[in-house]
Amino acid sequence: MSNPTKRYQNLAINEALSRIYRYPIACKELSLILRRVYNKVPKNLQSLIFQDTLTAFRLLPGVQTCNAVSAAHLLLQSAEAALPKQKKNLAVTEFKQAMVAHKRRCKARQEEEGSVQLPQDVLVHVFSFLDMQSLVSVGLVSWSCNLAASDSHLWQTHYAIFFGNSNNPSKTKEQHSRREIDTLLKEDTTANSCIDWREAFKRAYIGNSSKKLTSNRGFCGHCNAIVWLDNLKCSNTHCGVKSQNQQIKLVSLCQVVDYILDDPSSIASSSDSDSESDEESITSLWAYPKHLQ
Amino acid sequence: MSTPSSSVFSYRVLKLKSSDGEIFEVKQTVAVQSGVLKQMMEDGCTEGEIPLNNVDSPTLAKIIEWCNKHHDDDVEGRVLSQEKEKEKEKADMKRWESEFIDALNRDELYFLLIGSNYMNIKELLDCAAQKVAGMVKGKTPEAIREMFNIQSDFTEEEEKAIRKENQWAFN
Repeated sequence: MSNPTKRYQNLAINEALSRIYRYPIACKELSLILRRVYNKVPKNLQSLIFQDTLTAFRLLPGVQTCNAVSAAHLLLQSAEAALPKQKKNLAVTEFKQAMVAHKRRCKARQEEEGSVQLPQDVLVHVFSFLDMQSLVSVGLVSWSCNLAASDSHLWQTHYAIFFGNSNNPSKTKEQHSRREIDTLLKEDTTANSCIDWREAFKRAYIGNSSKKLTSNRGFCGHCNAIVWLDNLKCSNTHCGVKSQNQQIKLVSLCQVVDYILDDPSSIASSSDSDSESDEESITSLWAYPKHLQ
Repeated sequence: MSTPSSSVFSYRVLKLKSSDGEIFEVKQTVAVQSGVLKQMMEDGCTEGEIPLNNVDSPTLAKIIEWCNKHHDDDVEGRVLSQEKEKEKEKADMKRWESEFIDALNRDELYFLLIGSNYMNIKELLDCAAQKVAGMVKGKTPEAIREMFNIQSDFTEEEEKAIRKENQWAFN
């Protein structure tokens, strides 16, 4: 079977760092890996993790978000705690240089001028390509963005993505959510009443109360590995076409880290009833988001 | 240039007039990619100059470049018999599209969005919208404002309230 190094490479953290919207999560994963795993793995993997840490700092100036900066700070702390002296110094130097470059870029941006207002229908269309969290974020930009980002149809789509084709193994729960969607849809068409899909989504999402929805990570049955998710679908191209049928299981940050140390086949086959009982423990491999009851 | 005639079908070329008064000639077979122009052709009201008040000439030139490229591809597509070649053609087109979109600056991209929306050219609209969405993805509201140079029109209390309401998505 695969070794830790292989599994680490499968996580594609390096690649994720170069994508702005995945950078913060990848950083958090790296820092947890540094703290939990770094001292337990072979030398070659240690140097891989170290290289990725440096890469993370090097890419920071290109990622202009507060989220990324705080994730990078977290990574620095972990690096200082876990790395041996020489490597630690290298990492700190890299981080300082990155912060200087980051601030310089921030300044340059502010000096740019000129803007055009997009009409509402175009805004809604643009936002239809966003993931859920970005959609929430963009609502805070201005009133016109807020109006577009609250568009009920957009949220209806997200509701279907998150709760419509639920991977929940429990049939009753699935039927429950299906029925809920059906009734909501019916109301929408027959009574012509205006359903606030954003509100509906919010309620269902809070009901799920699972961090796993936000980690953007999942175990893809097709790839037999932990993959990056795009709107809850495996982002690897070979899965793209039939992604509806793909068994995607959501995983938490801890599970991603444990994945390096454990055999993935054991992850895939672990039963759901087990995980439900020890959901709190770090070693728990699978847990399904609890639905609103 | 053809002289005006009463029959719609004698027009092989449409004359599009941009908001700043420039005339562009476009083949009918190319222009059908625009939902609005297609409708006009079907209704038989494409005589003379067609004013496009929402589209300036640099943007219209870009839109026509896009439509010409995609039109050419259709013709070649019919000749290709091999599946593999078709796939290669598709990949080439994807590359051309992303190069086309990436070469635009922010304002050009905005005008292209507005223009393709106005003329109802779905593929171009999707392509440009995806590009903008990619720029927005994963960014904080502050970063988005900064990038698109948008001034916040919330009061402090309003912003606080919305921020608090939004917390559910990030917990």
